[in-house]
Amino acid sequence: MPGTFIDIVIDSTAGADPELARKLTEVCPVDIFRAGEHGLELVAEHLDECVLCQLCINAAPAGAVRIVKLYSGETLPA
Amino acid sequence: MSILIDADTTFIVQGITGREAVNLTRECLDYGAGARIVGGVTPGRLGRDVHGVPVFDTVAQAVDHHGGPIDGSVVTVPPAFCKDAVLEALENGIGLVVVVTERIPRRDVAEMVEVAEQRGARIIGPNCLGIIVPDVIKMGGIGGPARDAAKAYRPGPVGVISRSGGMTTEMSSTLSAAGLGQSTAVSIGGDAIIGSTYAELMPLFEADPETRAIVIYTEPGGRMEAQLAAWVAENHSRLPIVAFMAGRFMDEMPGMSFGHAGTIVEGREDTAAEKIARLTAAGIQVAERIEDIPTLIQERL
Repeated sequence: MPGTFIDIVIDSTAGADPELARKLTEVCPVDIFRAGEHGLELVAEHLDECVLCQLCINAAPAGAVRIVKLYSGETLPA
Repeated sequence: MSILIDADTTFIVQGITGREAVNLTRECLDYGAGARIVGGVTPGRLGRDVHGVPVFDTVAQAVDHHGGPIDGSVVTVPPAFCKDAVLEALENGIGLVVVVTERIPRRDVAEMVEVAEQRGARIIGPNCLGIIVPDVIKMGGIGGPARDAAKAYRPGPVGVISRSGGMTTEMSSTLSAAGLGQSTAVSIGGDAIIGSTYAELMPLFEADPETRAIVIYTEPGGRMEAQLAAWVAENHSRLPIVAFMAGRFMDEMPGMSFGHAGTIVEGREDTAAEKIARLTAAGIQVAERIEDIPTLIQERL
């Protein structure tokens, strides 16, 4: 089930990087990311647990991970 | 002096006819000089009163009746209606909103915190017990009935910030028993997203000449302590800080959440051990036991 709070957009090239998948899996405090067979995967049922800490954005190359606030349409990083 | 509220602060209680709100209203009216609760709001209950406080259908009616701006609101409405209640308070010019309600959907909390920031207002909570200036005023259920709050909280030089409502009183009571009163104690709430963090309240305490030290109660989970450590390092605070970290045993149980919603620990950065290391590196003394806090504060005053 998709989240109602936020959505996460991952750059397709970055999403295939196993090292980034490992990093995001490690930093997210609420397990939104997991390393799958084909790279980075989102755990849809955890999306609404996001705390907007932005650790994923900080851990990824610039622009590779974006958070879309579904309640306002704003995207992080701005 | 104090932070956030003082004897002149006016506020309303949204959801005032609910059971908890009725008790909270009584406690605030009885405490100190008596809180200036200028109205309550419960839709459909216009014309009633709660302990002499007039009840209105809307915040706008309360503002009209008061005849001028109202400083604050204590929000005690059910989770599903909380965002609307907070936005209604903000739209009517209220600058300080204490949100007592817990289990509010996270997107609602994020939205109301962002709207408050845009309007230059401040939210305390959600899932908090409010603010108290000892012997002067309390805004929220903090400390419980006036007689009990008067025993636990005493005026003095220590600012208290706590993620747990009950522990705000416990730590303040321990300080009071040792002759160390409090300038202001703030229960900031135990949820993962809250309106005011330690780092966001520190500048207010820094600007309050009566505050000479800070005590914080922290828990595993979240990034607030890392933000505080960064704030202290960047701002060269004049205020010594003593922290108490509850739930150290949680490091042995990753993925578990205890008590407050904000205590869920998954990453490395938010374990108790990591937080203690960060706080210590920033010069914040971490107490092993609550009863050690007064001595640690006295050594730093």
